[in-house]
Amino acid sequence: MPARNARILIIEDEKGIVLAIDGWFRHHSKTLSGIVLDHAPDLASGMDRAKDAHLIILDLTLPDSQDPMETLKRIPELRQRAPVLVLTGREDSDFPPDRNITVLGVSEYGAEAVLFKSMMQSPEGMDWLILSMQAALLRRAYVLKHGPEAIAPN
Amino acid sequence: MLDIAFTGARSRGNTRSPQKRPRTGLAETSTILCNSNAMRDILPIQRHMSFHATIQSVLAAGGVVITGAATVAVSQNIGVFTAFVAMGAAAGVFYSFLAKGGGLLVENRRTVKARIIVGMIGGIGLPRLGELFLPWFRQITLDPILLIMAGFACAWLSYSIGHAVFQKLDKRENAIAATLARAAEKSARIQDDASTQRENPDN
Repeated sequence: MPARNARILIIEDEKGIVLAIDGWFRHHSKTLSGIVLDHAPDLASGMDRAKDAHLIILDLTLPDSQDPMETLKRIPELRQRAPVLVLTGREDSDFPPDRNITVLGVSEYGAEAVLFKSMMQSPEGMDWLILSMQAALLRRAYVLKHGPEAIAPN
Repeated sequence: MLDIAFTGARSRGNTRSPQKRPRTGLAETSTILCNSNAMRDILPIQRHMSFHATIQSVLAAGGVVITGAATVAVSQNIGVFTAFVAMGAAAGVFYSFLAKGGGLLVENRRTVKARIIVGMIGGIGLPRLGELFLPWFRQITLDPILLIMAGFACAWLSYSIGHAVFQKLDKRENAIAATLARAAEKSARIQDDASTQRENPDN
């Protein structure tokens, strides 16, 4: 059976981040020939392209969604199509004062993980992103195969 | 059957020991993946270096430099002194770099012991070796041809070491890429099948 192409959608307006991810994938293009990277610079086009995606990387501050809270609220809609990883430039502690991004994004809106852009400055940070992508993809496959109750706590 | 195993706890202390490493089910990790120690368990090659190993590396590297410098200080030859310090520093940096191969080495008691032994041998042995080559060092500083030859030899050695190390790092990255490729292929197949099923429930 021929290998399927997996589409990874990056909804991100910062070119540097997109180039960093794209560069990593290009560097390993031989190994990752079955993965197609797609890029949407704003939330509206991201929502359009999400239907074909198998994994979505979402920036919280986008040109058409400056309020990170508003972007967070779109996660449930996005994750019906594919698992969502949140990538943000905001530090966890100053957002918002009572609840941090990780707790809000993961527990309340259903993101698979929250990663910080400052992490992307090191090769280890890129490894985190790649491994989080891997974990999110496998978990989605597991849930689809065995049902959501398979990972429900108790 | 799960493809991946997680430990959800953010543990302190010896996370290397399987006995002390708490293991939890997938369900408990549905929260914060990136903040969890657990990600180590699915790294194709473990590459985190502990605080203790860092200290050992720094001490060993410092030992090499200090002993090298001290040996030459005894010889009271200022010209060769520079060469010795440079050698000690290079050896120390090289050793730290290899040890920091936290990236390259799977850390366990044996590798930590090996680091200490290598550090001791490096710290005592290298300056002794340098002492043996003292006349040769003197000659090198006087003969420009020898100096250039030695320069080339050093450059070649550095290049070989650097090349080998980066090749190994690249291999590690490739391992990560390969696991992602497998996960993506599997997930895409299952996701596509599920959406086809949703669109055509009769099939």
